[in-house]
Amino acid sequence: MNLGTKIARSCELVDNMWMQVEDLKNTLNAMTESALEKGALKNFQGAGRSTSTHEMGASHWSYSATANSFPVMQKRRRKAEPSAWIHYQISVFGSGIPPFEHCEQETMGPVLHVSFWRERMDFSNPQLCVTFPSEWQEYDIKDHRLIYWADDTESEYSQWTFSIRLLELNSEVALERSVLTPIMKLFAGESATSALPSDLPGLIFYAHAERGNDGWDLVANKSDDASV
Amino acid sequence: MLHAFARNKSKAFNQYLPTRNPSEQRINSEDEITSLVFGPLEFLSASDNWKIWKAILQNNASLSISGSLPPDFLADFSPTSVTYDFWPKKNRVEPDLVVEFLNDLGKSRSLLIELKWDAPPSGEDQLRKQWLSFQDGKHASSLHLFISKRALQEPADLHLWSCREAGASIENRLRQIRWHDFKHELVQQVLRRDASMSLRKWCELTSGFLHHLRIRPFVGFFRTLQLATAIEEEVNPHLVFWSK
Repeated sequence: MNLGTKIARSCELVDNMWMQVEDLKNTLNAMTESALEKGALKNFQGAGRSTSTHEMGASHWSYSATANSFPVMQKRRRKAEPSAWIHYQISVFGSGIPPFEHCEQETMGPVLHVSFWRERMDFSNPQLCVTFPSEWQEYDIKDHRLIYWADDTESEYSQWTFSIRLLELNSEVALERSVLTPIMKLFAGESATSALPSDLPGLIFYAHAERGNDGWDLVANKSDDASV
Repeated sequence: MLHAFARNKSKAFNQYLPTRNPSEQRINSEDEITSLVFGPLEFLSASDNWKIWKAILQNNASLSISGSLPPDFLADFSPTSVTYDFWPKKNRVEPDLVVEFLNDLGKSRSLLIELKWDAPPSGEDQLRKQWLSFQDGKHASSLHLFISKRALQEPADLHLWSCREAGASIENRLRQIRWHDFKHELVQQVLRRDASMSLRKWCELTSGFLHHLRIRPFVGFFRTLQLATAIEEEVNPHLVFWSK
């Protein structure tokens, strides 16, 4: 295959990827709305319409990431006012892809980051999206799989993020198993290992890596063993 | 037009896709989609119409959002005629469609239908006004369908849609159906041998049109993986890591 063909095929590939990402987003939207509607997310209910944001690639000709955010509020509240958001950040390329530990040539590939945060998603602010190296403050990693911000005195619930390799999501059943069920279990107060078992398809495991004077960074692995 | 879309003779459906460029002109797509999807049904038989609407109303996802169907609507009814009234107007209220079935005893079943594509209902009480203006006095033989990409975020006050007439069941008469679930029922109908040729054709063409409009299930990244595999790896002759 000559280089011109490879370039043309690569562009077709990107276009195709986004078409399938669109289908994935639509399905995730429907599943999340249905879960909120049915009261399956423990103490939370929907607090308005979901919003969509995108991150442009350097050329501004295509997106590198997209995110859908669902505003939620505690059930006992009457006025629709979001107190937190469920975010689905899909990073196809760029800074949203977590770096592999001990391997600079390969990448983790496209990733779905699932977060429950008290802040709106904002790709222009590295603290308000999933990006590597991360600029988050005072987070912890639970059992190598759940990035976690402990509860503070002002709020009644913790914030978290977990990540799934996008290419492992190959059906609506897989979305239910690897995305929605873990969310429901985390809302129900189950532990990181129970909500995100080691054999969960596509689960990304995180570890800290030294960054010299810059502190430490998040790196990723495909299996639990490698990050221990 | 559905045939032209199916045979790749027209890409006019692109105008109904969400535009990424705010400077592009937006068209009022909802009415055109309504006409494209439901217009041909007017020419199908009453029994074909009853069969497809029955399947749509009994869709599992819709039942999980809206609850059980009022049993008195579907049971013991075989229509002999059907009429479609697009955008009827009454008291300045204009739903998208009213479908009315009649049987040989003159009994009726009607569907008051509001369709949304990307927009939420126009004003909080749009559905309430429609139900009051069009179905007052006929609640026992009517359902109100809201077909959209997403379920209503703030459910309407369902007391209004519970039946006030003697002898009718009190289940929710406001039914929510997502376009994805609507299309799913059409695809199922294409596979059914007991459906008429005309109904199956309508289901096939309409589900194809909805597929173009990105109403489609998520089936993974199989196609992307195929394309990625097709871009074969080649050894770059200019890269030499060591010399002999």
